[in-house]
Amino acid sequence: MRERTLEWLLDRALSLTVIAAGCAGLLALTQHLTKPRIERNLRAHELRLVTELAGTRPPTSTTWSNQVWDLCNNTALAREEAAGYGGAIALMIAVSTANAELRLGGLRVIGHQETPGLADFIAQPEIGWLADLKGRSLAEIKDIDAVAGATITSRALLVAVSGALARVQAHDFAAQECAP
Amino acid sequence: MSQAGTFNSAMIERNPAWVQLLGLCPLLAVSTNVANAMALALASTFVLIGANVTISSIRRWIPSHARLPCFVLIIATFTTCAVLLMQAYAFEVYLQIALFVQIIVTNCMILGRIEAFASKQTPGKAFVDAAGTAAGFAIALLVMGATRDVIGRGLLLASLPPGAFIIAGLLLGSATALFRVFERKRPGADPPDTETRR
Repeated sequence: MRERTLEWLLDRALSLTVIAAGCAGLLALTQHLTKPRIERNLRAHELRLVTELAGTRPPTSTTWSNQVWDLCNNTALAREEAAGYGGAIALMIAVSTANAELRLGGLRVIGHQETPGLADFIAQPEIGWLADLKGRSLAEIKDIDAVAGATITSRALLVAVSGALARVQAHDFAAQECAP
Repeated sequence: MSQAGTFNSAMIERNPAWVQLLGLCPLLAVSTNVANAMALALASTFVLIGANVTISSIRRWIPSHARLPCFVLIIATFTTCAVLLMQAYAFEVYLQIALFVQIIVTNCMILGRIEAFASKQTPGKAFVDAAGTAAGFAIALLVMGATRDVIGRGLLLASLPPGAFIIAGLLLGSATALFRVFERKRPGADPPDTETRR
Protein backbone atom coordinates (compact mmCIF):
# COMPACT_ATOMS: atom_id res chain seq x y z
CA MET A 1 0.00 0.00 0.00
CA ARG A 2 1.23 3.46 -0.85
CA GLU A 3 2.09 5.89 1.88
CA ARG A 4 -0.77 8.13 2.81
CA THR A 5 0.72 11.52 2.22
CA LEU A 6 -1.24 14.77 2.24
CA GLU A 7 -1.15 14.73 -1.54
CA TRP A 8 -2.66 11.23 -1.58
CA LEU A 9 -5.45 12.38 0.70
CA LEU A 10 -6.18 15.54 -1.30
CA ASP A 11 -6.24 13.52 -4.48
CA ARG A 12 -8.84 11.12 -3.05
CA ALA A 13 -10.85 13.99 -1.56
CA LEU A 14 -10.88 15.75 -4.93
CA SER A 15 -12.13 12.62 -6.75
CA LEU A 16 -14.92 12.13 -4.23
CA THR A 17 -15.89 15.80 -4.38
CA VAL A 18 -16.05 15.77 -8.17
CA ILE A 19 -18.15 12.57 -8.20
CA ALA A 20 -20.52 13.96 -5.57
CA ALA A 21 -20.81 17.26 -7.43
CA GLY A 22 -21.55 15.40 -10.68
CA CYS A 23 -24.32 13.41 -8.99
CA ALA A 24 -25.75 16.58 -7.45
CA GLY A 25 -25.70 18.28 -10.83
CA LEU A 26 -27.51 15.40 -12.54
CA LEU A 27 -30.16 15.37 -9.78
CA ALA A 28 -30.64 19.14 -9.94
CA LEU A 29 -31.03 18.99 -13.72
CA THR A 30 -33.59 16.15 -13.59
CA GLN A 31 -35.49 17.87 -10.79
CA HIS A 32 -35.54 21.14 -12.71
CA LEU A 33 -36.80 19.46 -15.89
CA THR A 34 -39.50 17.32 -14.26
CA LYS A 35 -40.75 19.78 -11.62
CA PRO A 36 -43.53 21.48 -13.63
CA ARG A 37 -44.91 18.13 -14.83
CA ILE A 38 -44.78 16.55 -11.36
CA GLU A 39 -46.58 19.52 -9.82
CA ARG A 40 -49.24 19.35 -12.53
CA ASN A 41 -49.69 15.60 -11.92
CA LEU A 42 -50.00 16.11 -8.16
CA ARG A 43 -52.56 18.89 -8.62
CA ALA A 44 -54.58 16.79 -11.06
CA HIS A 45 -54.48 13.83 -8.64
CA GLU A 46 -55.66 16.00 -5.74
CA LEU A 47 -58.36 17.59 -7.88
CA ARG A 48 -59.62 14.14 -8.90
CA LEU A 49 -59.86 13.05 -5.27
CA VAL A 50 -61.62 16.28 -4.23
CA THR A 51 -64.07 15.94 -7.11
CA GLU A 52 -64.78 12.35 -6.06
CA LEU A 53 -65.35 13.45 -2.47
CA ALA A 54 -67.42 16.57 -3.12
CA GLY A 55 -69.26 15.35 -6.19
CA THR A 56 -68.36 18.69 -7.79
CA ARG A 57 -65.27 20.38 -9.13
CA PRO A 58 -63.83 22.98 -6.77
CA PRO A 59 -64.09 26.39 -8.52
CA THR A 60 -60.73 27.80 -7.41
CA SER A 61 -58.29 27.09 -4.66
CA THR A 62 -58.95 30.53 -3.17
CA THR A 63 -62.22 29.41 -1.60
CA TRP A 64 -60.25 27.45 0.98
CA SER A 65 -60.12 29.27 4.27
CA ASN A 66 -58.04 27.82 7.07
CA GLN A 67 -58.07 24.43 5.26
CA VAL A 68 -61.88 24.38 5.23
CA TRP A 69 -63.99 24.83 2.15
CA ASP A 70 -67.72 25.47 2.47
CA LEU A 71 -69.60 23.84 -0.41
CA CYS A 72 -72.78 25.80 0.52
CA ASN A 73 -75.00 22.70 0.41
CA ASN A 74 -74.68 21.73 4.07
CA THR A 75 -71.37 20.10 3.25
CA ALA A 76 -67.85 21.26 3.91
CA LEU A 77 -64.48 19.86 2.93
CA ALA A 78 -61.48 20.04 5.24
CA ARG A 79 -57.82 19.09 4.94
CA GLU A 80 -55.54 17.86 7.65
CA GLU A 81 -52.16 16.20 8.04
CA ALA A 82 -50.86 13.83 10.69
CA ALA A 83 -47.58 12.01 11.18
CA GLY A 84 -47.83 8.42 9.97
CA TYR A 85 -45.24 5.64 9.94
CA GLY A 86 -43.35 6.79 6.85
CA GLY A 87 -44.07 10.52 6.92
CA ALA A 88 -46.98 12.91 6.89
CA ILE A 89 -50.36 11.56 5.81
CA ALA A 90 -52.46 14.27 4.16
CA LEU A 91 -56.17 13.67 3.89
CA MET A 92 -59.32 15.43 2.91
CA ILE A 93 -62.71 14.84 4.51
CA ALA A 94 -66.25 15.75 3.58
CA VAL A 95 -68.42 16.82 6.52
CA SER A 96 -72.18 17.05 6.71
CA THR A 97 -73.04 20.31 8.50
CA ALA A 98 -76.83 19.84 8.31
CA ASN A 99 -77.19 19.28 12.06
CA ALA A 100 -75.47 20.91 14.99
CA GLU A 101 -73.43 17.75 15.47
CA LEU A 102 -71.09 17.33 12.50
CA ARG A 103 -71.05 13.99 10.70
CA LEU A 104 -68.22 12.62 8.59
CA GLY A 105 -69.35 12.23 4.97
CA GLY A 106 -66.27 10.56 3.54
CA LEU A 107 -62.51 10.80 3.28
CA ARG A 108 -59.70 10.56 0.74
CA VAL A 109 -56.00 10.27 1.47
CA ILE A 110 -54.16 12.74 -0.76
CA GLY A 111 -50.58 11.88 0.04
CA HIS A 112 -48.70 9.35 2.15
CA GLN A 113 -45.52 7.25 2.29
CA GLU A 114 -46.86 4.31 4.29
CA THR A 115 -45.61 0.76 3.84
CA PRO A 116 -47.12 -0.89 0.76
CA GLY A 117 -48.96 -4.07 1.60
CA LEU A 118 -49.54 -3.14 5.24
CA ALA A 119 -51.16 0.20 4.56
CA ASP A 120 -52.88 -0.58 1.25
CA PHE A 121 -56.27 0.05 2.85
CA ILE A 122 -55.40 3.77 2.85
CA ALA A 123 -56.13 3.97 -0.88
CA GLN A 124 -59.54 2.30 -0.47
CA PRO A 125 -61.51 4.45 1.98
CA GLU A 126 -64.78 2.91 0.82
CA ILE A 127 -64.09 -0.53 2.32
CA GLY A 128 -63.00 -1.80 5.71
CA TRP A 129 -62.91 0.20 8.91
CA LEU A 130 -62.39 3.50 7.08
CA ALA A 131 -65.83 3.05 5.54
CA ASP A 132 -67.26 2.48 9.03
CA LEU A 133 -66.17 6.00 9.99
CA LYS A 134 -68.77 7.41 7.58
CA GLY A 135 -71.62 9.13 9.38
CA ARG A 136 -69.75 9.26 12.70
CA SER A 137 -69.45 12.36 14.85
CA LEU A 138 -66.24 13.80 16.25
CA ALA A 139 -67.03 12.40 19.71
CA GLU A 140 -67.56 8.91 18.29
CA ILE A 141 -64.28 9.00 16.36
CA LYS A 142 -62.37 10.24 19.40
CA ASP A 143 -63.86 7.28 21.29
CA ILE A 144 -61.84 4.78 19.18
CA ASP A 145 -58.90 3.67 21.33
CA ALA A 146 -56.81 1.91 18.68
CA VAL A 147 -57.08 -0.05 15.46
CA ALA A 148 -55.11 -3.29 15.26
CA GLY A 149 -53.08 -3.87 12.10
CA ALA A 150 -50.98 -0.95 10.83
CA THR A 151 -51.52 0.63 14.26
CA ILE A 152 -49.44 3.75 13.65
CA THR A 153 -50.96 4.42 10.23
CA SER A 154 -54.45 3.90 11.61
CA ARG A 155 -53.80 6.20 14.56
CA ALA A 156 -52.46 8.90 12.22
CA LEU A 157 -55.61 8.60 10.09
CA LEU A 158 -57.84 8.93 13.17
CA VAL A 159 -55.84 11.94 14.43
CA ALA A 160 -56.10 13.61 11.01
CA VAL A 161 -59.83 12.92 10.70
CA SER A 162 -60.54 14.29 14.20
CA GLY A 163 -58.32 17.29 13.49
CA ALA A 164 -60.15 18.04 10.26
CA LEU A 165 -63.55 17.65 11.96
CA ALA A 166 -62.43 20.00 14.75
CA ARG A 167 -61.34 22.48 12.09
CA VAL A 168 -64.81 22.43 10.52
CA GLN A 169 -66.41 22.77 13.95
CA ALA A 170 -64.35 25.88 14.63
CA HIS A 171 -65.06 27.31 11.16
CA ASP A 172 -67.18 30.43 10.89
CA PHE A 173 -69.49 29.51 8.03
CA ALA A 174 -71.20 32.91 7.97
CA ALA A 175 -67.90 34.59 7.11
CA GLN A 176 -67.65 32.77 3.80
CA GLU A 177 -69.68 34.02 0.90
CA CYS A 178 -72.11 31.63 -0.68
CA ALA A 179 -73.09 32.59 -4.18
CA PRO A 180 -76.87 32.42 -4.67
CA MET B 1 -16.14 -12.93 -24.57
CA SER B 2 -18.20 -11.56 -27.46
CA GLN B 3 -20.90 -8.93 -26.93
CA ALA B 4 -23.67 -11.47 -27.50
CA GLY B 5 -21.92 -13.88 -25.14
CA THR B 6 -21.70 -11.24 -22.40
CA PHE B 7 -25.38 -10.39 -22.88
CA ASN B 8 -26.57 -14.00 -22.84
CA SER B 9 -24.44 -14.97 -19.90
CA ALA B 10 -25.71 -11.95 -17.93
CA MET B 11 -29.31 -12.67 -18.91
CA ILE B 12 -29.43 -16.47 -18.54
CA GLU B 13 -26.44 -18.14 -16.93
CA ARG B 14 -25.99 -15.44 -14.30
CA ASN B 15 -29.64 -14.36 -14.24
CA PRO B 16 -30.08 -12.12 -11.19
CA ALA B 17 -33.42 -13.62 -10.21
CA TRP B 18 -33.34 -17.36 -10.83
CA VAL B 19 -29.60 -18.11 -10.63
CA GLN B 20 -28.20 -15.59 -8.18
CA LEU B 21 -31.50 -15.06 -6.31
CA LEU B 22 -30.87 -11.31 -6.06
CA GLY B 23 -33.53 -8.63 -6.07
CA LEU B 24 -36.17 -10.99 -4.69
CA CYS B 25 -37.88 -8.30 -2.59
CA PRO B 26 -39.20 -6.31 -5.59
CA LEU B 27 -39.65 -9.56 -7.54
CA LEU B 28 -42.09 -10.90 -4.94
CA ALA B 29 -43.74 -7.63 -3.99
CA VAL B 30 -44.38 -5.97 -7.34
CA SER B 31 -45.29 -9.03 -9.42
CA THR B 32 -49.01 -8.95 -8.52
CA ASN B 33 -49.80 -7.85 -12.09
CA VAL B 34 -48.06 -7.40 -15.41
CA ALA B 35 -48.35 -3.60 -15.59
CA ASN B 36 -46.57 -3.02 -12.27
CA ALA B 37 -43.96 -5.67 -13.10
CA MET B 38 -43.27 -3.97 -16.42
CA ALA B 39 -42.92 -0.53 -14.80
CA LEU B 40 -40.48 -1.81 -12.18
CA ALA B 41 -38.49 -3.68 -14.82
CA LEU B 42 -38.13 -0.47 -16.85
CA ALA B 43 -37.09 1.56 -13.81
CA SER B 44 -34.52 -1.10 -12.80
CA THR B 45 -33.18 -1.20 -16.37
CA PHE B 46 -32.71 2.58 -16.36
CA VAL B 47 -30.80 2.50 -13.06
CA LEU B 48 -28.73 -0.57 -13.99
CA ILE B 49 -27.60 0.77 -17.36
CA GLY B 50 -27.11 4.34 -16.12
CA ALA B 51 -25.08 3.36 -13.05
CA ASN B 52 -23.05 0.64 -14.83
CA VAL B 53 -22.04 2.85 -17.75
CA THR B 54 -21.29 5.87 -15.54
CA ILE B 55 -19.15 3.89 -13.13
CA SER B 56 -17.37 2.12 -15.93
CA SER B 57 -16.56 5.47 -17.59
CA ILE B 58 -15.13 7.04 -14.44
CA ARG B 59 -13.64 3.85 -12.97
CA ARG B 60 -10.09 5.25 -13.10
CA TRP B 61 -11.01 8.17 -10.85
CA ILE B 62 -12.94 6.24 -8.21
CA PRO B 63 -10.64 5.80 -5.18
CA SER B 64 -10.53 2.06 -4.50
CA HIS B 65 -10.79 2.58 -0.73
CA ALA B 66 -14.00 4.52 -1.06
CA ARG B 67 -15.48 2.72 -4.05
CA LEU B 68 -18.61 1.32 -2.35
CA PRO B 69 -19.85 4.75 -1.15
CA CYS B 70 -19.18 6.07 -4.66
CA PHE B 71 -21.13 3.19 -6.24
CA VAL B 72 -24.06 3.65 -3.87
CA LEU B 73 -24.04 7.42 -4.43
CA ILE B 74 -24.22 6.97 -8.19
CA ILE B 75 -26.90 4.25 -7.96
CA ALA B 76 -28.90 6.49 -5.62
CA THR B 77 -28.60 9.39 -8.06
CA PHE B 78 -29.98 7.30 -10.91
CA THR B 79 -32.72 5.88 -8.69
CA THR B 80 -33.85 9.36 -7.67
CA CYS B 81 -33.82 10.41 -11.33
CA ALA B 82 -35.99 7.37 -12.12
CA VAL B 83 -38.39 8.36 -9.32
CA LEU B 84 -38.65 11.93 -10.63
CA LEU B 85 -39.11 10.79 -14.22
CA MET B 86 -41.82 8.32 -13.22
CA GLN B 87 -43.61 10.99 -11.19
CA ALA B 88 -43.52 13.23 -14.25
CA TYR B 89 -44.36 10.75 -17.01
CA ALA B 90 -46.00 7.70 -15.39
CA PHE B 91 -47.72 9.13 -12.33
CA GLU B 92 -50.54 6.56 -12.06
CA VAL B 93 -48.14 3.62 -12.13
CA TYR B 94 -45.78 5.42 -9.75
CA LEU B 95 -48.55 5.72 -7.13
CA GLN B 96 -48.83 1.91 -7.19
CA ILE B 97 -45.16 0.97 -6.88
CA ALA B 98 -43.58 4.10 -5.40
CA LEU B 99 -41.68 2.43 -2.56
CA PHE B 100 -40.28 -0.35 -4.72
CA VAL B 101 -38.84 2.13 -7.19
CA GLN B 102 -37.16 3.99 -4.34
CA ILE B 103 -35.56 0.83 -2.94
CA ILE B 104 -33.96 -0.07 -6.28
CA VAL B 105 -30.99 1.70 -4.70
CA THR B 106 -30.53 -1.19 -2.27
CA ASN B 107 -30.97 -3.89 -4.91
CA CYS B 108 -27.86 -6.07 -4.59
CA MET B 109 -28.26 -7.10 -8.24
CA ILE B 110 -27.09 -3.62 -9.29
CA LEU B 111 -24.29 -3.19 -6.75
CA GLY B 112 -23.18 -6.75 -7.51
CA ARG B 113 -22.82 -6.17 -11.26
CA ILE B 114 -20.98 -2.91 -10.66
CA GLU B 115 -18.51 -4.38 -8.18
CA ALA B 116 -17.94 -7.58 -10.17
CA PHE B 117 -18.05 -6.25 -13.73
CA ALA B 118 -18.62 -2.58 -14.54
CA SER B 119 -15.89 -1.22 -12.26
CA LYS B 120 -13.31 -3.27 -14.17
CA GLN B 121 -14.55 -3.12 -17.79
CA THR B 122 -14.99 -0.60 -20.59
CA PRO B 123 -18.30 1.35 -20.82
CA GLY B 124 -19.34 -0.63 -23.89
CA LYS B 125 -18.99 -3.98 -22.16
CA ALA B 126 -20.58 -2.58 -19.00
CA PHE B 127 -23.56 -1.47 -21.08
CA VAL B 128 -24.02 -4.90 -22.65
CA ASP B 129 -23.70 -6.61 -19.27
CA ALA B 130 -26.18 -4.21 -17.66
CA ALA B 131 -28.63 -4.67 -20.53
CA GLY B 132 -28.35 -8.47 -20.19
CA THR B 133 -28.84 -8.39 -16.43
CA ALA B 134 -31.78 -6.02 -16.82
CA ALA B 135 -33.33 -8.24 -19.49
CA GLY B 136 -32.96 -11.26 -17.21
CA PHE B 137 -34.57 -9.42 -14.32
CA ALA B 138 -37.36 -8.16 -16.60
CA ILE B 139 -38.09 -11.70 -17.85
CA ALA B 140 -38.31 -13.00 -14.28
CA LEU B 141 -40.56 -10.09 -13.21
CA LEU B 142 -42.86 -10.42 -16.22
CA VAL B 143 -43.18 -14.21 -15.94
CA MET B 144 -43.99 -13.86 -12.22
CA GLY B 145 -46.39 -10.98 -12.94
CA ALA B 146 -48.19 -12.83 -15.73
CA THR B 147 -48.46 -16.06 -13.72
CA ARG B 148 -49.81 -14.32 -10.63
CA ASP B 149 -52.10 -12.11 -12.71
CA VAL B 150 -53.71 -15.11 -14.42
CA ILE B 151 -53.85 -17.48 -11.44
CA GLY B 152 -54.81 -14.67 -9.04
CA ARG B 153 -58.10 -14.13 -10.85
CA GLY B 154 -59.32 -17.56 -9.82
CA LEU B 155 -57.16 -18.34 -6.80
CA LEU B 156 -56.77 -15.43 -4.37
CA LEU B 157 -53.71 -17.04 -2.74
CA ALA B 158 -51.66 -16.26 -5.85
CA SER B 159 -52.03 -12.50 -5.36
CA LEU B 160 -51.10 -12.66 -1.66
CA PRO B 161 -47.50 -12.73 -0.33
CA PRO B 162 -47.48 -16.48 0.53
CA GLY B 163 -48.62 -17.22 -3.03
CA ALA B 164 -45.70 -15.13 -4.32
CA PHE B 165 -43.22 -17.33 -2.45
CA ILE B 166 -44.82 -20.54 -3.66
CA ILE B 167 -45.00 -19.42 -7.29
CA ALA B 168 -41.46 -17.99 -7.20
CA GLY B 169 -40.21 -21.30 -5.81
CA LEU B 170 -41.98 -23.31 -8.51
CA LEU B 171 -40.77 -21.00 -11.29
CA LEU B 172 -37.16 -21.01 -10.01
CA GLY B 173 -37.30 -24.81 -9.79
CA SER B 174 -38.65 -25.20 -13.32
CA ALA B 175 -36.04 -22.76 -14.69
CA THR B 176 -33.23 -24.75 -13.07
CA ALA B 177 -34.65 -28.05 -14.37
CA LEU B 178 -34.98 -26.57 -17.85
CA PHE B 179 -31.36 -25.43 -17.90
CA ARG B 180 -30.14 -28.84 -16.71
CA VAL B 181 -31.90 -30.43 -19.68
CA PHE B 182 -30.41 -27.90 -22.11
CA GLU B 183 -26.92 -28.28 -20.71
CA ARG B 184 -27.03 -32.05 -21.02
CA LYS B 185 -28.18 -31.79 -24.67
CA ARG B 186 -25.42 -29.34 -25.61
CA PRO B 187 -22.35 -31.35 -26.67
CA GLY B 188 -19.07 -30.17 -25.19
CA ALA B 189 -20.81 -27.58 -23.05
CA ASP B 190 -18.74 -25.66 -20.54
CA PRO B 191 -19.09 -26.95 -17.02
CA PRO B 192 -21.48 -24.70 -15.10
CA ASP B 193 -19.78 -21.72 -13.50
CA THR B 194 -19.96 -22.92 -9.92
CA GLU B 195 -18.83 -19.60 -8.50
CA THR B 196 -21.94 -17.71 -9.55
CA ARG B 197 -24.32 -20.57 -8.82
CA ARG B 198 -25.55 -20.89 -5.32
